[in-house]
Formats: sequence, structure tokens, C-alpha cells
Amino acid sequence: MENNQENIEARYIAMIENNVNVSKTSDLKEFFILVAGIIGLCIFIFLCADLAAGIWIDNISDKTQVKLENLMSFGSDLPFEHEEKYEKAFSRQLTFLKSRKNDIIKLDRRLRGKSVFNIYVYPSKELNAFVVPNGTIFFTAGFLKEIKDEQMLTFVLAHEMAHYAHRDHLKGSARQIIAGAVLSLLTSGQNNSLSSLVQNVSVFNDLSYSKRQEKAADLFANKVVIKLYGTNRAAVEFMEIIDKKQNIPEYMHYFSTHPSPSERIYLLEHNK
Amino acid sequence: MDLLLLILLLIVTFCSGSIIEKRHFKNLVSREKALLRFPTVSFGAKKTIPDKKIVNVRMVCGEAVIGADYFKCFVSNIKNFFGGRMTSYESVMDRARREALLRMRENARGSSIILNARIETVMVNDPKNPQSVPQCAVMAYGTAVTYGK
Repeated sequence: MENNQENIEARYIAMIENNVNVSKTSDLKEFFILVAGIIGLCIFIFLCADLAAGIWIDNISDKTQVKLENLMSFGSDLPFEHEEKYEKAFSRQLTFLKSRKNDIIKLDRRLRGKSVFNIYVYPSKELNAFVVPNGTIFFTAGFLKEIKDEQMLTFVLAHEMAHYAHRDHLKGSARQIIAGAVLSLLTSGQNNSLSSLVQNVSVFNDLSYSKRQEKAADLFANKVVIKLYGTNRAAVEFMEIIDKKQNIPEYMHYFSTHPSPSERIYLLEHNK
Repeated sequence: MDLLLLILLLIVTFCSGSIIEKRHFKNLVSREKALLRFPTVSFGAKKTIPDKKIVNVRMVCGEAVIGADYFKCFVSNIKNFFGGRMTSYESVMDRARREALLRMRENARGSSIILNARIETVMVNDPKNPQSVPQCAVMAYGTAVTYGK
């Protein structure tokens, strides 16, 4: 009897210590498996969206392209305030850019007969240039103040026109629409951890996609500069100026839409 | 920046959550061992016909509310998409039940037995509110009976 009692007690203690109601799997392990699964799924969706958007946008006619672009950039044709003041201040560079753009248009079939590529000054101190969907190109006042060299100006102009020639703006939008639709179905509009994870993955995916576009535009501009001047020395120098101006640590470029200047210099130097 | 914040939050809540959980389980095991010889049964008082004289009868309760940490919620939210056992919430449920039972038994100290013990889950928050906190609330109650010598 005494022996039996002890047996029962030992069994109870074993029951307490080996709890069967809680799974033995680790939360952390499960977390990593789930996150990896979600990231894999997102990347797969984005790859499909990239492919679909690429095929779709590459196959639309020039007429549709122009129509879409005008729809997307309504109101961006109007010049900014004090535009005349800037035109006067940077008249030498602007005349050069305006004549140079015709040379670049002649070089590529994809640029012909679509946009007139208006060039405006954007009132900002930053060192930047950008193109809006209808082909209007903006240079910041800070940029024109800093860069006077003709080869560098040609490089930047060709870079912006390359974005237009590659239809990057349309591809980016199409990709966003396709992937956004699929992913929002997936997260079903809930504000939970799944959607926050998906959002973060898509941000990184967008950044890497944007970097690929920038590299393609760089290569296009590089080709143009080499055709016009026979050397891409100025392009490399321009990147070095950017590197010095930005002065941000190397790892921060992971969070940037553009590749790091050193990476771009490497690309330019190996494509002479 | 958003991502860094999320990662930091996950790391902090994972560490704090697992430390608290480990301590709680240790505490539960030691308390359960101490109360090993104190019987708690789920059958009713009518069915037992002891020869002993009943001195005292009273009702005893134990309640516990255990919250799930941010990390657990995050994992379960993703798990909800694929489906399967919500292993991260299992430990929360288990802790709440054991804590409630232990509190009831500790309340009944001095009695001979707890008869008719019941365990219930309670809604503390509003589950329809999307901002409600994931938690597990458990209530245990029973009749503590003291037999005379």
C-alpha cells in the first residue's frame, strides 16, 4: 500500500514536470520559418509582377504610352515661380542642355516622336535631377550651380532620358498595381503583423528594383557619353562629386533608391 | 526605420516574454508540488458519502489573467495565415489555467478536499474590437469541505 502511494506521487510529479499541454517546439524557430515563408512568397509575387509588368509595358504602342503619360503627369507642365530668374542665372547650361537633348534623341529609336523633353529648373538647393512621366526633365538649382562641365551635364541628361526610354515610370506603376492588388488580397486589408511584414518586404523589393533601373539608366547614359565624347571620364568624376557631397556611410545605401556611388563608378569603369 | 523599430520590438518582447514565462513555469511547478497531497476533484458533493462528519463547507475561487507578449501575437498572426496549431498561445492558456487552479487550492488551505471543482474561461476584453489585447482569463471555483476528526 505504502509502495503504491509513492508510485502515484511519482507519477503526479512526472506529470507536473513533463507538461503535455504545451508544445515543445520553440517559438523562435517557428517565427523564422514563418517569416522566411512570407518573404519567399512576397518575392515570388513581386517577380511575377515584374515579369508581367515588363511584358505588358514593353508591348504597348507609343500612342498608348503618350496617352498614359499625359494622364499621369497632369499639371506638371507648368513652370515654377521665379522660373525666369533661374533661366537667366543658368542660361548657358540650359541652352547647352536644350541643344544636347536633340543629339541624344537622335541616338535612340525609343526616344523619337514622343515627348519634347522640356527642361526646367526646380527651385531646390539639393543636388538632383529628375524626369516626370511625360518626359519633362527638372534640374535643381543647386545642381546647376555645382555642375558646369558639359560632359557631366550630358551624362545626367542622358541618364534621365534613359529612364524615359526604358519606360521605367510605367513599369514601376504597373508593377506596383499588380503586386499591390495581390498582396492586399493576401493580407485582406487587416492591420496585423502579416501586413506590416509584407509592407517591409515590399519596401526592400522596391528599393532593389529601383537600383536595377538606375543601373540600366547609367549604362545607357554611359553609352551616350562615349558615343558623343569618346570617353566616360566625366561620368566617373561626376559620381565622385556625388559621393563626396552625399557623404553617407556605405551600409545606408541598402535603404536608398540609388546604388552607392562607388558601385556606380565600378559599373562605369568596367563599361568603357 | 519602420523595420528597425519592428525588429527591436520583437527582440525586446521575445526576451522579456520568455524570461517571464520561464519564471512563471518554475513557480507553478514548485507550487503544484507543494500542493500535491491536497485533493481536488470534479465530482459533486452529493455523490460522496463520507463516514466523517463535515465541519465546514465554503466556496473557493481562483482567477488569473495572462497576457500574450507582442512577439507571440506577431507569430500567431502569421501562423493564422497558413493555419496549424497556435503553439505560441498554448503556453499562455496553460499558464492561466494552472495559475487559476493553484490560487483556488491555495485559498482552500486548511480544508480536507475541494469538491465540484470547475474551470471556466472569461472574456475580459471585447473580442470584436480590433485593438483588444490578446489574453487568457481563467476562473476556477469549487466547494472546499473540511471533515471533522
